[in-house]
Amino acid sequence: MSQIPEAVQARLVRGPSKLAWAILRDRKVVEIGGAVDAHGLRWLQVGSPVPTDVPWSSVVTQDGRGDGAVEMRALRLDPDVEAHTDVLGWHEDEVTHVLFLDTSATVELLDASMQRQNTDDLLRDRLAGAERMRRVERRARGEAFAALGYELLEEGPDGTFRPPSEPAAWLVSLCGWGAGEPRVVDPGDPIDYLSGFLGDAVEFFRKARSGPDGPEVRTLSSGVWTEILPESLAAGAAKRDMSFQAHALALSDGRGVVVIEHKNQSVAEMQASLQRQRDAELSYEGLSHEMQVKDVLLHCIVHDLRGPLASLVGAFSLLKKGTLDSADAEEAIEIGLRQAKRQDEMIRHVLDVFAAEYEALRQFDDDPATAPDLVAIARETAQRQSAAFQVQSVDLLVTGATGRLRVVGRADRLERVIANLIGNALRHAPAGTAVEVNVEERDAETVVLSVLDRGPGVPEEIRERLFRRFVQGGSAGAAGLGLFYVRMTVERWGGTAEYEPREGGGAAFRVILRRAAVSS
Amino acid sequence: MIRKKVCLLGSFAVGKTSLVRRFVHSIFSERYHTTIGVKIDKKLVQVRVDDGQLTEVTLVLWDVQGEDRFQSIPTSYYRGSSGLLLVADGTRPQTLDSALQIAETATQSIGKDVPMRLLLNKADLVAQWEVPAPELLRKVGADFAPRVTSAKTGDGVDESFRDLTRALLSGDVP
Ligand SMILES: Nc1nc2c(ncn2[C@@H]2O[C@H](COP(=O)(O)OP(=O)(O)OP(=O)(O)O)[C@@H](O)[C@H]2O)c(=O)[nH]1
Ligand SMILES: [Mg+2]
Repeated sequence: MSQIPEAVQARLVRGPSKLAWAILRDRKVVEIGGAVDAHGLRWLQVGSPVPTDVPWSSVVTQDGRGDGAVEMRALRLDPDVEAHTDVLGWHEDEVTHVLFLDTSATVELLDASMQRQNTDDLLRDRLAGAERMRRVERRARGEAFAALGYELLEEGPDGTFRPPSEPAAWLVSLCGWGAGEPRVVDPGDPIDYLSGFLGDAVEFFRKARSGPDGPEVRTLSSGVWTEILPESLAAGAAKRDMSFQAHALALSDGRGVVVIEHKNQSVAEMQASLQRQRDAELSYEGLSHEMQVKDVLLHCIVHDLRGPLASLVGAFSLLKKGTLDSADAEEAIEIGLRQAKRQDEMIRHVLDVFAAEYEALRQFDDDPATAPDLVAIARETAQRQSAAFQVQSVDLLVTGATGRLRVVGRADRLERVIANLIGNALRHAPAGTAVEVNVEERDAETVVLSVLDRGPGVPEEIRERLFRRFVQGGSAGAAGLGLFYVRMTVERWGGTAEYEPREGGGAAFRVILRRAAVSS
Repeated sequence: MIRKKVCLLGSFAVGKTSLVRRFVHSIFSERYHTTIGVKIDKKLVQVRVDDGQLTEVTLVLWDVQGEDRFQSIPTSYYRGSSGLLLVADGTRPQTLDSALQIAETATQSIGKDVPMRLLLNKADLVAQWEVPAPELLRKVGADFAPRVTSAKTGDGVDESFRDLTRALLSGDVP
């Protein structure tokens, strides 16, 4: 009688006498005992099946899985035996328990109502006991998982999920359960990660139940996700991010359970390893890009520097021969000098660009009292270049604003920017034309410096790449570096550089700078 | 209460997490902390829709781990999205191609056209953009209503989220 808890046995002994019991599995008797004779049950043997025509067979067959306890009162089990028998049956796991109580024998001892009371009590106790056991078991399961840092949600027959025991605070927060609200999650809302996954789990459970019997437990994993939960749940304010992973388990008995892991620890490890990989990839990306740019640039620079050098060598060779008359010699020297100057200018651009690249990003003055005055710097720079203009018979005009216009930037760099643009214009301006440097307020926040010439202008196809250091398939190099330097420098100050064809022919380069008064 | 799911998608390190942090919490950090899986944050947003009516909506922002050549995004992440924010890094032009590619996968997976916006992030580093912004924006095309943003300075961030929110709602509001 090992299957009946001692507490129940004690009650039975004190209750009605002539008790018999049977324990059945798959409708076959696995154990039988007690006052078998008194109820006329002598035919019931271990191993024998219970026939379907005995009056109490419904106790055995009724599917009471979980809750079913069946009671039958005052049956005459065997016409040859003088006994009234009450039958009590219940199911537990795969096993059916049947109790046979001899009520006729106790009538003399107990008042009928009292006896009924006893039986009811017994039944109720038994049922309550079974239910209590089940709850304890569920709760124990939930608590055991909680102790390991997992929370459980069990799929109910109504398609919702519920925790078997009091859930951890993080699960309550995750599911958005308010105080006193039922602890239920509806699956399938893809806006929420957990609910979306529970939707997948329902489908997964359904397939597992309908599919062929597979391995004992099948699982579906959600992947890691992170939510930002109230600070009160975490140790410090910085630790509000909580990471989770959920697993749907299709149990062999058809039930579906979802285990939710609170994963901060292992996510931190995964994170660290992925972080290393990403950091490495970023530096590799950056470096190889930089290398590629530098390679091409270097190639272009060398190519450009060789141009003037060839002319220089040519001029020197002619001079060395000593066959030139004085006018030709003069010209050869003039050519050589011009090319040497050109080369010098290119080298300066190269140095500018590299210097600017290594310069701290935010070295500029934006104080309205001391920031560089664009009007004055434009004038001074133009002044300094006037000799070169005279040589080439090109006029240089400075027009526009006359007052002070302080801009965000640095005086020395700004001067290089303007010198680059003016030098560029001079290179393309035909003799007899004028280059105009114009400074104007654009609006309350910005100032425009324009450098305008009457040269051929920039061909359409290279306009777009004009201010770039490195142009795939195009030519860059030292000659192109001047404009790249202009753009890079003014953008650091929050400005922009633009080109457009000049009305009436020629080129219009513009630099738009922020006014110091506004930016401060 | 209207709730809308928005996925932020794009290559790693383009600034998805930073954009969400800027928009939701008004903070920015230079430190790069790569996202594992998905990180979900929420923000209650009020926008004025076409008819001028003020509408409240809770944006549920799914900040999805950056795709790279080893890890692709499970398509289940896209399920139920009302809109997508594609993010590219202006300093790394190749991230724009990835963003456009992800957009295609995502729309196929969602199975209907949802509003999408493309953000060219890290505008504060524009001096380092190898390809200038106008050229990148042109490349993206008007379908994605591309915008230049900076999670660092906040430039264009609020506008982008709000603009997308309005697009999400225009279907709902009579
Ligand atoms: N200068 C600047 N840096 C930014 C900006 N946005 C993000 N960053 C930086 O870029 C790096 C990556 O930003 P995250 O927001 O983590 O990028 P993510 O797209 O979420 O990356 P994954 O989670 O790995 O996919 C961090 O170091 C950020 O500080 C920006 O607008 N400007
Ligand atoms: Mg991230």
